[in-house]
Amino acid sequence: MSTPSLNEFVARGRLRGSAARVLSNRVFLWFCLAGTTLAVLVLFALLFSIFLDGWSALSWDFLTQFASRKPAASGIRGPLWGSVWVCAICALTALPLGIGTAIYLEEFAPKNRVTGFINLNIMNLAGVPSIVYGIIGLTAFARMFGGFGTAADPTVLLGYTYYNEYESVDGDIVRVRVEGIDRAGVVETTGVQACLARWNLWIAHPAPAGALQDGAQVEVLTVTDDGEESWRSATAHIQGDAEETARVGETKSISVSALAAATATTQVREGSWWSISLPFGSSVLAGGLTLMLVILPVVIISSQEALRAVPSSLRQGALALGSTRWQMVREMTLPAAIPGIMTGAILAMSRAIGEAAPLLVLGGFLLVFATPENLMSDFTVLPLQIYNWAGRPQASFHELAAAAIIVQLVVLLVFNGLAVLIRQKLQKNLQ
Amino acid sequence: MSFGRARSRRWRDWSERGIRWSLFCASFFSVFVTFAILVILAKESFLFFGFEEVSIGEFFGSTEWNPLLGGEKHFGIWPLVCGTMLVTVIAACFALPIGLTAAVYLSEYARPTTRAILKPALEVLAGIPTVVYGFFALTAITPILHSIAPRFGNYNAMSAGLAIGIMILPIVCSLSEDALRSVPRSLRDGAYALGGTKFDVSVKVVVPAALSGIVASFLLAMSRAIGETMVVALAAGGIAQMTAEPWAEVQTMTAYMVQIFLGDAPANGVEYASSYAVAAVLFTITLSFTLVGRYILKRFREEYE
Amino acid sequence: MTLPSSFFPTPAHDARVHAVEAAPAVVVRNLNAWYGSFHALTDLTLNIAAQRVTAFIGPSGCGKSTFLRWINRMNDTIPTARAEGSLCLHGDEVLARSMDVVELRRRVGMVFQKPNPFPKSIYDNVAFGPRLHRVYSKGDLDLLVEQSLRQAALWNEVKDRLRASALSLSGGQQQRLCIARAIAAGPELLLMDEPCSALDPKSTLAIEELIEQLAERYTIVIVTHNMQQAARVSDTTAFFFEGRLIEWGETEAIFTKPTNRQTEDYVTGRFG
Repeated sequence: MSTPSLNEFVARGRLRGSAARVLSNRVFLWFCLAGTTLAVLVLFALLFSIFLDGWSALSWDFLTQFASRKPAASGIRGPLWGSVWVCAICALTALPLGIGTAIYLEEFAPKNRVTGFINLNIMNLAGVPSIVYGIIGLTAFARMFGGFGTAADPTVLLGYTYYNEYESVDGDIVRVRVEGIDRAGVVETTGVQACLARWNLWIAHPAPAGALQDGAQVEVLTVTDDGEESWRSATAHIQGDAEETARVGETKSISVSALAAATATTQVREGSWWSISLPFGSSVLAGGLTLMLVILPVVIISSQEALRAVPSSLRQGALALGSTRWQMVREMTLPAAIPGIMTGAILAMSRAIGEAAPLLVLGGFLLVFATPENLMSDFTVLPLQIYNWAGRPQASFHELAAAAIIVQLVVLLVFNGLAVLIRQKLQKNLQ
Repeated sequence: MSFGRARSRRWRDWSERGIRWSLFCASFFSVFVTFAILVILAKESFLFFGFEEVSIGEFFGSTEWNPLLGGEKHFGIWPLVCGTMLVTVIAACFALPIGLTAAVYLSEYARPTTRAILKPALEVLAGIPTVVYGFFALTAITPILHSIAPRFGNYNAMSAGLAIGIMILPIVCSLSEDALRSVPRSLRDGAYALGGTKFDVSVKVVVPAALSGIVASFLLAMSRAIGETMVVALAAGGIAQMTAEPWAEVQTMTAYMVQIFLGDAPANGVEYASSYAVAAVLFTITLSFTLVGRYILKRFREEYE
Repeated sequence: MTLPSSFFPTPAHDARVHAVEAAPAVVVRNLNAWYGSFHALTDLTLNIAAQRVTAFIGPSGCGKSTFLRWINRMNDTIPTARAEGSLCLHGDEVLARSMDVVELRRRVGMVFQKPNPFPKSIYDNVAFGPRLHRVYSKGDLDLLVEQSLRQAALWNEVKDRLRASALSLSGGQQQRLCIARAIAAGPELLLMDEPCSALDPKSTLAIEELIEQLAERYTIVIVTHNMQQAARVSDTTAFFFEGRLIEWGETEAIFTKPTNRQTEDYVTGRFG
């Protein structure tokens, strides 16, 4: 077989100038370089402008003060502790669930349609905008579908103490503990007169409705002239009439600080460390669970990747020695995959720390003046505080926002550094 | 003769079964979450369409969205979708070309040391909270835009769009770079051996070969942009309007939801319920982006060994 | 291990080779090559005859592929690779800095160990090289693609599905497509780096027949692990060992009466 020479056909084309080709190559390189440089520059500009704005507002006080309406006296103690609580709850729920899911899907699940569906489903969950999770969290956790009353008046309350609350004429608040009720409500009382001296409460006869006994422990809120509030315990003494009460108070104490003449009291509740109410309302628990929803797909996917990276020869070796699936996972697969899982978990947590949108939907923004005490406490988190400050018109609040961003970025950097460190250390141990 | 007492087989089997079941329940939780999302959004949207001010026809047909102010309320979703799309398109126009060229540079040109520095840096930047980008938009981009053209007001679509573009840039770059790097070396060799310049090899062989991965990264980044909340809530403003002008104040779907849940509307009212319908639309859009991205990856991925 | 000087081409040996090459396509003198600090090729001196098939044989890591990749400067894509000495293609110094590698690679086609078709259509694969270097009318390009595929003995199998993805072809077809792609750019020299190592025996046979046909028009250099293949397809054979050229000459001579002990051991299968 003889064919005509190919070169004849090759030569029919008009030769491209090599200069044009060299030029296009050069231009393309510059184009790519310019794109990369622009990307890097923009990101540097972002960090630089924030550091410039926030550096001056950063101080120890900034970390330890609560937020305030006055910029100079403002700090991020509330949001910082809120973030810690919410992220802790998020980690405690999302990590076991996510890693468990990954282990099931990679090590136990048969490769069938159901597994494929769950996998696809997780991919889709990873693409759901976080604000949608916020709405889900609001409906499912904060309100529990309206099935337990409203957040302001929950149906189920566990671990709470109830008080009648009186307001004295000079503004002190006196709380009297009430036993035997499980809901707080408004109670009507008349003619209560009490005075407070040396942390003893002297109350005139008749005692207010609500079963206040002689010798009951009460709490008294005193407000100093600077606006500082403090609760103190006191003992109630039921005396004769109001005047006598006042007299006894006077005689028994050096100064009578309050004389109450309230006609109506409200009942309030105070939680202990283990208090729970249904629905959760916009509490740290609801916030943590909502963030759990947000990062769960991330945790699952990164753990799956870590498990997939474990060579199957390890698994087969374990199975060949007669171990059950779970023994194989516990002894071989998990230890080998732990660095990858930890890295993924830490990166997922750094995502959780930065989320604002779902929590904004969940409870709006609150100025918080106390650190959370239990799962039902109100909270705010760092990104929400940043959002609030950034949204105000005054430049001084923008400085606070920038300072809070610096704190947030430092935390993120620590997390990322930790992830790298763990990966390196554990990998070294495995080798 | 045997050493050691044999472990009880029954105990082993039961514990194995228990662990298997609890792990299965954990993995079923994710299905349950999806189910919950669908049910909650569907039910609440259904309630929304039950209000007499609202009709499905108006929701999908009207171009007026005015739920809070004025005597007559209007619930036409298009202004919110339009605002979202305007911001997303601006973000995409900024991030996709730059992200892709940066990815090509990192994958084809950069020295290993350069890449070893830039790649992790990009991943850290991808983890910066979105509220930070919102702050940047408000305090840096908007003033710059205003000084360039005064018609850019305090709130505008351009500023939010650019900030979101910066935000999704690392995502585009990192994922596209992964796709480019997964193109086997033998293809590059083949193209070089035919006399291709670096430009020819990158643009005519490597990028087309990685196209499915690149498109998937684009879609993922776009769906992030669509669902982004904090940046638009801070920088885009609050007027729901049909406009394509980048200097205009717009309201996106997410920003509307923030406005409602921040307490501008009474609970259990029609405005409140409307946010669930908006969330349902948002969910549908992002879900379709995810599914299309998955489909492209699966359908068009070339199998290399 | 060090080799006695008698292992290098002797004048007598040279004379024998000169007899078979009227006009060498590639002339190599004292070529040394390194990957980083690893000395991959040592003092290589040989000629590659034009319009003939030259086979490089030798055990893995002996430098034969390295040498091949210096002929079209593919080693430029490896940052640590460098070379010294002289390597002339039809009188042009390949290793010179001024050498336009793009033009060089147009003149020197290459086929790789594993078939590496681009994830494009069959047509676009073949048209890739021509389009890089020249501007064709649609008709001319169609003709060129057809002729290339014909010469690669693939035309009859793919003429009805030129727009189909090249990845839909079988391994042997893919390799012939890669050959078609290489010759479509109009090379003078065709380098084949173990072109059959990833193929089944039947496809291997097809490629070997193709090489014989192509030898009418092209200078072909083939690296192979397969001694029978070298014996079947090549006119000249060069034996490499540990980065040195041990012996080269007419294929028949190398396989039947090698002058060198190591060559003999290798071709008779006693080592390697």
